[in-house]
Amino acid sequence: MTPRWTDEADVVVVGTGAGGATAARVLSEAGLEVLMLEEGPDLRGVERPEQLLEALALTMRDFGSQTTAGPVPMPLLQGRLVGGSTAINSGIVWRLPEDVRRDWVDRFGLGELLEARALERAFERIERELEVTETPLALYGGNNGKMAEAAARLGLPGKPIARNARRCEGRARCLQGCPSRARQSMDVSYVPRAIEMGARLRARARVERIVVRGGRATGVRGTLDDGDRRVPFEARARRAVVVAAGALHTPILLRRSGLRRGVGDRFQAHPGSAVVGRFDEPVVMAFGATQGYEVPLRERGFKLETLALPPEMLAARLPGAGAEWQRRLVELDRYAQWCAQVRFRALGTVRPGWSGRPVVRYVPTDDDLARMQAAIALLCEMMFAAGATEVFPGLGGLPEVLDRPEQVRLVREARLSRRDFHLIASHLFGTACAHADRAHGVVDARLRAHDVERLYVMDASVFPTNLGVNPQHSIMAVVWLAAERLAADAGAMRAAA
Amino acid sequence: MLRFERRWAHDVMSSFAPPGGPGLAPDPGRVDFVGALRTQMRASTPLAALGLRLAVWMAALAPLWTLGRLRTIRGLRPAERAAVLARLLRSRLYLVRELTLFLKLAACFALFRVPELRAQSHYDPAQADEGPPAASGVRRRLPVVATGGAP
Ligand SMILES: Cc1cc2nc3c(=O)[nH]c(=O)nc-3n(C[C@H](O)[C@H](O)[C@H](O)COP(=O)(O)OP(=O)(O)OC[C@H]3O[C@@H](n4cnc5c(N)ncnc54)[C@H](O)[C@@H]3O)c2cc1C
Ligand code: SF4
Repeated sequence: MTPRWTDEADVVVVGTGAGGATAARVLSEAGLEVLMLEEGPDLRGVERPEQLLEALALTMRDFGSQTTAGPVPMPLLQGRLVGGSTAINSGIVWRLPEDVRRDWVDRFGLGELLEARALERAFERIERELEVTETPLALYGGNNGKMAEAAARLGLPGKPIARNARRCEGRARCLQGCPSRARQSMDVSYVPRAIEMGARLRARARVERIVVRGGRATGVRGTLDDGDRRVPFEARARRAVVVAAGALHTPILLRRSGLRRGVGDRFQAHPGSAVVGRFDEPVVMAFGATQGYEVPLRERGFKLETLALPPEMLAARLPGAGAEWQRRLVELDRYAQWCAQVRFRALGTVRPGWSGRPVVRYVPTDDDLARMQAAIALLCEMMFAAGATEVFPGLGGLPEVLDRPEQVRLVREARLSRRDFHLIASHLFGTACAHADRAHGVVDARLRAHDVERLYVMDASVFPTNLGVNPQHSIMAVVWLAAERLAADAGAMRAAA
Repeated sequence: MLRFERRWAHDVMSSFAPPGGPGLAPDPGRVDFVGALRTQMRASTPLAALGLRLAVWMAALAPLWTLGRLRTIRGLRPAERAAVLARLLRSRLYLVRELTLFLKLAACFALFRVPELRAQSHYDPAQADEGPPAASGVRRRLPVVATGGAP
């Protein structure tokens, strides 16, 4: 099809999430002409729908219904709008743990990219620019406050969560997009900053294919969604194409463009599962930072966090139907919800399905599930320690409601199968793994594709392993360093030309 | 969805919290269950949309295959309908309980769009200028800007 819209830039960036927006910000500052292409809508400066249903339909890819394949599906959540998943996330910030950095340097040969001091500099810069601070006590509200109490009572290493939301007002609705634009997601930070520095943004532009000529990426092709019309486009890249479509869509785009070796292998996830507790006194989940308190237990392979839910999701999470459920629905201020994020070790694959959507094959290991079970049991214990009168572990094969602390033993000792867990994952990695050795990686230690020149991958796909912590900050920092290298290379190219 | 499927969807989704029950008991005529379901189906993957449709059939015909009674869920009294759904939610069959949960979530999307129902749920902090209760042991300090919660 002949393209009806064309554009040209030094660098074409596909996707505007944690990776794409950071790349665009660094490259624009370095003086390169950048074109950002984003499949989802541009909601900057637009009020997001107040109703959860409409908000999710507009911003969450497939309404969160993309799942792993197979008989026990696990939902995989991703944003689909300018800002990517950062525009619907809770703003939690964690630096790449040192043991993970070392592992990536030692086993994957990424020392050139992940030099400790350079990484530290990138983290500091991002934290300054994105206004990262620890959640203040004033924004705990009941949901975070109860977890703080439980951690103190049980002697657990709890702490307020560091978030990129210094001006947060505690409206507990990050999932719908921050109404006060306090959270520095990419749509309110690096995308506008890149634009100020000369970058262009085209939203509702879905890239279908990378154009490769003579073994070199020269641009991309795709379709613009212009309301009721779909318009083919082509964007030429003079220096580089940067793919940052997220861990599920980057491999699909690469495969569609002819790259195969290793692409879509090594899919990994950091799934979560939640426990709800009922208290006799009001908790008022609707006030406080959406996720403001955590208990990191990486040595045990998991991390516990608070997670405020909108009323629709909280109500669906309460057990039963009819009178019992209806009674609960008029006291939604009495509930707290916390979740466990577990560092799963399982490896899966992502491949294009018949409709072009990703097909994700992924089966957690027994050990992964055992750690999830231990984490859920600890959450139940914490709920009782905080004074909950009823706890809902959310596990099949067990009582729906626990009303005595002794019953936590049931959760800890139950023999559970995969079907008994309600898992959900929003931290996804590994599908275009970085490895210095071409035999083992899709991209090298500068995030350049091994098999195609001038093609880069700069998003969560390049992470060789699961971090065990919330990943957005690490994605931004790693991409920051790679984008600086790309800018330097492009400068050299320009000088040579 | 065909017309009879829309009707089944309404019957099923309104039966999680039937009128006349204790607590939150909405007038089903005031809640757009089918509209919410259709929005969700349109935004979902084709497989998930199919799953929702299958869930409607499964739950609407549940009296037949769970109670052996030759009728749809509409043919039961409100409390019986809710009891059937509660049974499906506790089913030992993974697919049955998960599909029913999927419908329950869709019903919640519809219920909490109605401002009065949302207000009755007490989810939002009582008054914007009053502030929320602080957890015991946590010093209470009100944020500078209103604490109105989700609208
Ligand atoms: C609900 C939720 C809560 C989360 N909470 C946190 C948190 O608090 N802290 C944290 O660290 N992490 C959190 N995460 C994870 C974090 O947001 C992601 O790991 C991170 O944003 C991934 O960055 P990315 O650049 O790889 O992809 P994304 O941020 O997902 O961006 C990819 C972008 O590419 C676009 N795209 C895809 N395909 C195409 C195409 N073909 N053409 C054009 N554009 C395309 C997408 O629409 C999307 O905008 C959360 C995620 C979710 C979904
Ligand atoms: S908790 Fe509310 S105010 Fe704070 S960042 Fe999230 S949406 Fe914004």
